[in-house]
Amino acid sequence: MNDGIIDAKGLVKDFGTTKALRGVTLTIRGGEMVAIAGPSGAGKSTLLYCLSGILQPDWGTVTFAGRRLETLGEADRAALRRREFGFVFQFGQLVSELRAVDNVALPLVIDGVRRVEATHRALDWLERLGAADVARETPDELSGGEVQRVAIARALVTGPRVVFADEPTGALDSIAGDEVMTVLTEHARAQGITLVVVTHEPRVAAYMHREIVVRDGTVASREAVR
Amino acid sequence: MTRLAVRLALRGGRSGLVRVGLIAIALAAGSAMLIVGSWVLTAGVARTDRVETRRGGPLASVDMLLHRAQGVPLNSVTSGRPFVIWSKTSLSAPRARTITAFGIAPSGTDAPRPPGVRAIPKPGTALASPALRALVDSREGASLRAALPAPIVGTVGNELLRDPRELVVVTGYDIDTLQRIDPGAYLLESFHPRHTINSLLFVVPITVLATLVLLLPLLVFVGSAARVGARRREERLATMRLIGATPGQARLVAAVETGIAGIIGMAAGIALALATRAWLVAHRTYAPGELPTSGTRLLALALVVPLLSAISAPLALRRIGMSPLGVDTRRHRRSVSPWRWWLLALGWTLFVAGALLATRGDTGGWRTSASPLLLTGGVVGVALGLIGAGPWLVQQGAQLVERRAARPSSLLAAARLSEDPRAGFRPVTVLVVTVFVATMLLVLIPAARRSPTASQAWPWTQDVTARPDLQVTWNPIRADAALAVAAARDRLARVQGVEAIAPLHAGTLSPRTGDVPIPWPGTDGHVVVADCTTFAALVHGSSRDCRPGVLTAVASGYRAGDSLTLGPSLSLTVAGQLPLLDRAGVLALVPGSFAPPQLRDLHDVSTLWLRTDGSRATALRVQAAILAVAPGSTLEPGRTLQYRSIWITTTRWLLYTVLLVVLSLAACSLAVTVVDQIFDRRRSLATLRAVGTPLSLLRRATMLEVGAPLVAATVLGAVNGSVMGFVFTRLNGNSLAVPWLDVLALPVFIAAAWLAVSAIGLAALGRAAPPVPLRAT
Amino acid sequence: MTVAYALLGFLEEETRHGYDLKQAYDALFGAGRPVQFGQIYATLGRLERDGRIRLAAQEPGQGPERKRYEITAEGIDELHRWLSEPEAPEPHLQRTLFAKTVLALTTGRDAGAYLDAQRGAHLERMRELTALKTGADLATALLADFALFHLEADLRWIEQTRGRLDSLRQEVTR
Repeated sequence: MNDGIIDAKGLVKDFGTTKALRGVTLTIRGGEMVAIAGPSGAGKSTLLYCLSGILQPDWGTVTFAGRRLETLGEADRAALRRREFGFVFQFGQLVSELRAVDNVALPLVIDGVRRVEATHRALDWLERLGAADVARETPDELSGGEVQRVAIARALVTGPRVVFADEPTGALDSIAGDEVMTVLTEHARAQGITLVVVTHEPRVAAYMHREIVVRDGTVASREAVR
Repeated sequence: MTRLAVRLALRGGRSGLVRVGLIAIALAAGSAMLIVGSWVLTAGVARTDRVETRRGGPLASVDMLLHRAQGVPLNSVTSGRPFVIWSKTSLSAPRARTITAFGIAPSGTDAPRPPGVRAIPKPGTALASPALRALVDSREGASLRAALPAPIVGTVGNELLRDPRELVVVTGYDIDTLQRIDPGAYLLESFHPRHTINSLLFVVPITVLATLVLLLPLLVFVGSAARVGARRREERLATMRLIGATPGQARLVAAVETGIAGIIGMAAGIALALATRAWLVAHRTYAPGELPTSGTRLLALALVVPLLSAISAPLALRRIGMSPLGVDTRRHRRSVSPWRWWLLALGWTLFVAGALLATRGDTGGWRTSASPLLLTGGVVGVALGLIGAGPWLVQQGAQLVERRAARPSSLLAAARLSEDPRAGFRPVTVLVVTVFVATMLLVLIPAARRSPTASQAWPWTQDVTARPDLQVTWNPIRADAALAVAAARDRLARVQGVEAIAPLHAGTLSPRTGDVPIPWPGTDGHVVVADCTTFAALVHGSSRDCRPGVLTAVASGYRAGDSLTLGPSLSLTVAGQLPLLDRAGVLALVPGSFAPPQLRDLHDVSTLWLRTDGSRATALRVQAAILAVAPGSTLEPGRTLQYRSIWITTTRWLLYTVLLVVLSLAACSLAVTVVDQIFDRRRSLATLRAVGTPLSLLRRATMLEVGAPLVAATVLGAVNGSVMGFVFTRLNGNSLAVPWLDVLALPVFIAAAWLAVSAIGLAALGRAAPPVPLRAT
Repeated sequence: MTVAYALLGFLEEETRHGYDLKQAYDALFGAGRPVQFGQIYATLGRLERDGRIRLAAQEPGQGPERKRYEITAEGIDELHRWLSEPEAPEPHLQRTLFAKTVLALTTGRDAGAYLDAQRGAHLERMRELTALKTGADLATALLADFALFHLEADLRWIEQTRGRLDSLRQEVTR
């Protein structure tokens, strides 16, 4: 009955005495765009990290396309994150010493793609995302919106099946935020990529098909899968 | 404000304490090194002076043989002034040690006394050094008592001894007996050092170099220690600045912190130095009087390091901008200007100028002083220039790699280095200077251990050392010495492990002899005449184009190809220049087959030099052979025939110790800096891990990032250092034996340090950068 | 419109006079603008006519203030239907949203579920507007944005209230 690309069951995660997640169960279907919403400190980001294999839950299981994440070692999970997932973080989190194009090419190069080829594909993605003119700049020289475009290019360049975004517009004003979300959802839709976005902004959540509200480490409400 | 700074330093949490502790340790080590170094330097100069003094004063060149042959009464030589006859020979002691045996015969009660001898021993009695007395009194040395020339009736003071462990006996004789026993004995009117060390040419450059080599790594280490956890501290200070504190006050906090560490470090440094002194004295390496413990001297020396570091710590922090809005590590891609080469160029210019002046001959005057100063200035200039040029080189290399890198680890490392080459090079700043100085000195001070007669050169002097492995001496010289030597040669040549044998004809060639018309340069000099192969056996680097039987003459003041007339029937072509021994020349090497009548008359073969494989077994076999064929001879370890070799030996020991300490310090500051830089960048690293970068890749990148500047520093330092060292040796006109093992040990050590530092850094990497995106701090 | 459901809510607790009802309404929703007696009585009359309430007792004396009303089963159904149904998301809903939340609390219903449902409805509307924006000309997009920002404000209020429901319940059911 579970036709989800990501299935989480009974996720529990503690940080010391803080209970970040207290039993989260959810299913995300392939190609779906899901917002994870909720107040600060509700455990949204922790949930995202558990779903994407960045963190190991203390309890519960995460299944991605039939593979149980908790059975994989750190190296395998790293490879999974690199190949199947893409990430966009609040401040882009680009490697500050690399130029934009190298930042985008990096995941490919890590995966053994030849540098020339990787650069070529990176430039292609930057152009599609409207950031071709900043390809030679370093992150210090970019605006917040440009940083996020580069980050999205970095997330998409490997052809991932799922893109996880953690407050992707958190550091942006509403116009730049709209642009970033438009670009992100447009390309995710075009590529059939599953998108999981953590946000506390309803306007960002409105770009998604569906919303999962997390409160106090549990799913407080969810909309029907449509 | 100061009180707040003190509180912040002491209660600033764990990182504050770590910082103060690190700085204090560095300062303690530095102060102790400085104090001990100054002791060793002073003691070394004093030792050389003492050894020089007991070699005799200005009249030492008056040759007994000559006077005996010509029947000149000794009183007429001194015009009636009191004098002593002073002889120096040696005896074997257990454990291959040598007893320096002085013979003394006074002209009367008013005769000059050597230092450390309160009363000249009466004929048939002897004075001994404390070490010799202790040895004779021990079971091991009991048999020595009979071998000594006369019973011991008193002790000689430290003033006569090179070091407290030296075995010395001073035996009293009457004049005739001593002259008969040692025809080479000197007549002395007074005891004064014949040579003194020229402090301008020798002590000053050494001190400058040593200070540079010692203090720079310390200051860098203190600087990097001051930076540990600076970010967090600076964030606190930034909050302070929001409510109105000035950047100066922030720096004051750092200075006060270093000051506290300085006081602790200074006290610990003095204590460490005193402990070292106690150890050295207890092991009788030094006499207590050689290492003066005057309070002002200790304090002054111990203060140098903390004072300098109190300046260096805030300087290190200057790079971290402190705005009220937080810490800005000024991480912007700034290109490094190629003008950074100018200091290096200036240094080389000075050096070349000094070298050119030096080759203009040793005519004295301003050139003699200017040349070493220029050379020293050049060395210092190049050392500092390397620090300046390093980042530029790193940036060029990194940019090249960044564009081409196919592997992600090299891409990351190169990007990081080309973004901030200064930060990349900073941890290896010390290393580049250390490697530079070390390579230069290693080329200059060849390790003579495995090359028996390597000529050793030291800058600023014109001396060369010949050193055989073993030396067989007939003592006293017998009438049939020549026969005994011939027999011994044949026998010894068959001993396994003996590689070469050379007879040593002791005697004097002096223009004053009149009957050997050698055109000596200056007033005195010496000549070495040898069969080419014999010569090659003794003097390293002279064996080119050498056929047995070809006579080779080597003389100071001559250039290769000059003609040298040794007598009416003999003139030789000079094969090379070998300023062997001191200028009063008392030695000639003559092959057994070659004996011009003049030389044969003057010079008895009394000594054989042996080159062996260096093993103890060979030494024992030689001893057995000698006992069989030449009773009455003594076997000694090869004596270095050049007094400055004391310096070289001491200096090499010192150099290696200092190098080890400095390189360890450099490795420490490298580790501290690397760990700190990793923690500084933990957000970026953590993100990389989150998006699926394997930890192993980040490890490789970090190793490259540390390793590339390390390689650059090593190559830069080594190339400049060896070229300079080579030029120095050319200036002295000496052949050189480069101690390849020692030179190779340097990169090995550096590679080991790199691995160790990387390991620490990598351990920190795993902890500092968990694969979770860290929130902005 | 809201007044009718508020009266139903009050009557669900107990039977009341018209005067009591006005007092209760003003206390919770008046906010400085007391409701007119006329409006109360007109609403009561309409509710009685539709069978949502009925007269429970007529006390001695003259005038409407002597009439005591009680809620009918039909009235309870109507109130329940209203409370469990999210409002159609449109700007300027705050009075209604607030009334629904408070009434749900005072009548012991699940206000959280209501707010979540309302959140869903709002978000759905925002999705439609967001979809409208894509590919639209700037004027249309800006109009959509106008609605989006207002809906977002509502949603923020909903989230705020959602986080403080427990305190609110204590306050209104005292």
